[in-house]
Amino acid sequence: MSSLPRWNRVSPKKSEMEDNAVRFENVSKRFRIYHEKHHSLKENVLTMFRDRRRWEDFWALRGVDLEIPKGQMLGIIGENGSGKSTCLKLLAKILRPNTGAVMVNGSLSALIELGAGFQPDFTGRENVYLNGSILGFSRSEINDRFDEIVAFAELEKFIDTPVKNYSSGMYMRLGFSIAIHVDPDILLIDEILAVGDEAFQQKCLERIRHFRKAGKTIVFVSHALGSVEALCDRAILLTKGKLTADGQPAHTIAEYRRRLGTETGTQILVPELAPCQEKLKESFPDVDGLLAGVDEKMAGIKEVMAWLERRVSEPMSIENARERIVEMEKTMSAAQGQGAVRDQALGDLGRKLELLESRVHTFLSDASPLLSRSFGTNQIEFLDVDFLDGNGTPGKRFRSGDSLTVRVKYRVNEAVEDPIFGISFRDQRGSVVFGTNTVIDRVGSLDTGTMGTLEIKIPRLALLGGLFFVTLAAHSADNTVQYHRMENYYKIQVEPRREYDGAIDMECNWRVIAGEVTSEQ
Amino acid sequence: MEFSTNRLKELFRYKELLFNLVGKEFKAKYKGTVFGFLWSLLVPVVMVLVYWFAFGYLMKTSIEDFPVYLLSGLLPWVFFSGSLLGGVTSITSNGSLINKIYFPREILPISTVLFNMVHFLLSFTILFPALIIFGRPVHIGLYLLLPFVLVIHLMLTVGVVLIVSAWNVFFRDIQHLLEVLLLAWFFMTPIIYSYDLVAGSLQGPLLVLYNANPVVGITELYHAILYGSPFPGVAALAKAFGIALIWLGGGYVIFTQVEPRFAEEI
Repeated sequence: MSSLPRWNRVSPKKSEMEDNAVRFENVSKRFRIYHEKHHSLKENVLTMFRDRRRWEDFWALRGVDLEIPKGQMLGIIGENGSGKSTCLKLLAKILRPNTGAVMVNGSLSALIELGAGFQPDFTGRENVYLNGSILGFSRSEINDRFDEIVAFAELEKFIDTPVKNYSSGMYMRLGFSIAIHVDPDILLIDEILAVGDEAFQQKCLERIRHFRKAGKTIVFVSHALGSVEALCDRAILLTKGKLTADGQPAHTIAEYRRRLGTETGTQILVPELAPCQEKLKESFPDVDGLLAGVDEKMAGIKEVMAWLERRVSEPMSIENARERIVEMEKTMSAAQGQGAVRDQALGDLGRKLELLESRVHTFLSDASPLLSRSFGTNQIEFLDVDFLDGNGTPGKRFRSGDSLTVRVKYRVNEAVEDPIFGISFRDQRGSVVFGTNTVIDRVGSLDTGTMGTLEIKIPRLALLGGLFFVTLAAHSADNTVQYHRMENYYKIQVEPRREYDGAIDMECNWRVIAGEVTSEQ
Repeated sequence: MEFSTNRLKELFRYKELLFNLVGKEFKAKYKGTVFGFLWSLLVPVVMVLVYWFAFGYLMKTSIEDFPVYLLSGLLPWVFFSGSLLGGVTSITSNGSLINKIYFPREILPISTVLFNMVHFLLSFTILFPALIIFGRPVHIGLYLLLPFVLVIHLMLTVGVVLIVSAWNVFFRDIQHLLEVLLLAWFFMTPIIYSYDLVAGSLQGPLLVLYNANPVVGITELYHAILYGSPFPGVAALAKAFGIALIWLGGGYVIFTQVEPRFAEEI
């Protein structure tokens, strides 16, 4: 056990901590990504004297210094894999830093995973007590809050039903309600505002505002830049585990967008989005005209429209386009419930939205087959991709006929059944020159663990010279759900081995047999 | 040791979770069964009947009232081995919880031990009738020592379970190794034979080795109190307490040393 690292336990100095709720001091967090996961003594013994470095280090956070004053609401933004969630897990004491120290001043509640630890067979009531005790409540404290928790979750009628019979919305509402009634000094929120319907989301936001007014410290991690800007006092940007911007939310968000736009191979290609935005605007040429003739009760619709308009006019990424359509649909369906009077107008809106959605989709695939984008449900997340040549040296230039190994570090954020991994190469015209996946290659079912490395070894690269666009994907067995798809996300340059003509490199053995040619030969 | 008193305070703050987890295990284990908890009594009863047949009836052991002797050593053993087998995976099987929520991780193995402890206490319902049926001498004075012995036994068991549950996160072999080990361990403990037999046959280093088994002392205390074999004296009680304290302390130190890595290793 001598190899186990130790953690620096630094207790906060009183004077420094008094005004700060949270302090990160040179915090780094490393994850070991094992090439082969050793989980048994035998394997450990067998490999003890051999190559001991059968893992690679992935630094989720590197040298982060951060102070969060009491009463501040801090937003954390950044791309997938930039270290946002690691930050929260460090704050929540689920992870410990490898270097530096995380100091927390006050009680803390984490809305990271709602309903974690729920027992499906237990009733809602039993789960409130169990979950409450996981969060550190005593029985009497739960008793005091019980009615309020149930009322907030709107589950009065179902509280004695086993939670396995709950809808996912009910499940999340109960989880949220328990967590938010902890009444902590510091609240951590990770993308959970997507809980339930619009009305419930409003309630959650209301609760968060209430927390702010009460002078509580809130750390809010989100991809919804709009919410960060609207809610937070301050925002920080994480890029590959480093703190790269800190300040007013608007300022940090602008910096984030700037970085996304300029870095190669990133999610948002601003110039290509301009026409997309045009099309979105086209779809709403005359909001007021649409609403003409509708009486004053339709003010709600106008609000929805204004909201849609705002969303549409915001600069957007391709990834967000989908999210936004889903959001719009949600808003629509929430509005739909408000009254039959509005159906007529809503029908028009709905059709427009459908049209818009199909236009966006068509646009995305038509605009350019070589559009680079990264999207997915994030259940599996690709963290880092390396292209290695025959010597194992990472790079972007390869030779036909040599070996190419694609090494993909991934993390499983949420267990999925039988994921399929795929890879494809497109040439500069956008045609797929080669594509395969773990089913086509009959790899069998994969034991992915919670994180690891996927290696795709191509012993002999048969591509002839040129620039090739690589797509990597992890998707469900029926290919309906993309966990993570990095479309044309990477480019590799292939040098031809010889001056062959065409697109592929084939071994050709020539032989000439001189002599008389007989007819039967 | 300032940090450990803080940890202990925190553990105490989470006592509600401890009780809830024990209750949860009960509900989960006996849900939908007709006989419920009675099933857990069946294992020691069948074991006693089998050993009684083999050693008492066929091999004519010299131990008088052999079933009572068996029960008074076997029931504590079932508590100990059940705790180890249940506790060894208590961390690894709760990965989703550990990855998502903070709470003192030692709650998980400790709750498994308490769950088995409750079973152990309930199993006295078969032991005491047996004492009466076989007309064993009853020493009220010795019975008063029983709570102390139970506490010592609990400390020892928690200590061992903390170690195996923590190590199993890093080497999943531990859980399999433990099954084999417990089989040998059972026969290295005076349960189906008397300690006198060991003391008569083994000498020198072998006897020292045999006595290094921390369960030997505690089993002899149970024999003295429940079966009525000669009481080994207060010194033996103190020694057992000391050994249990070392195991508990050692187990706790080992556990807290490696605990921060659980979330990323599971």
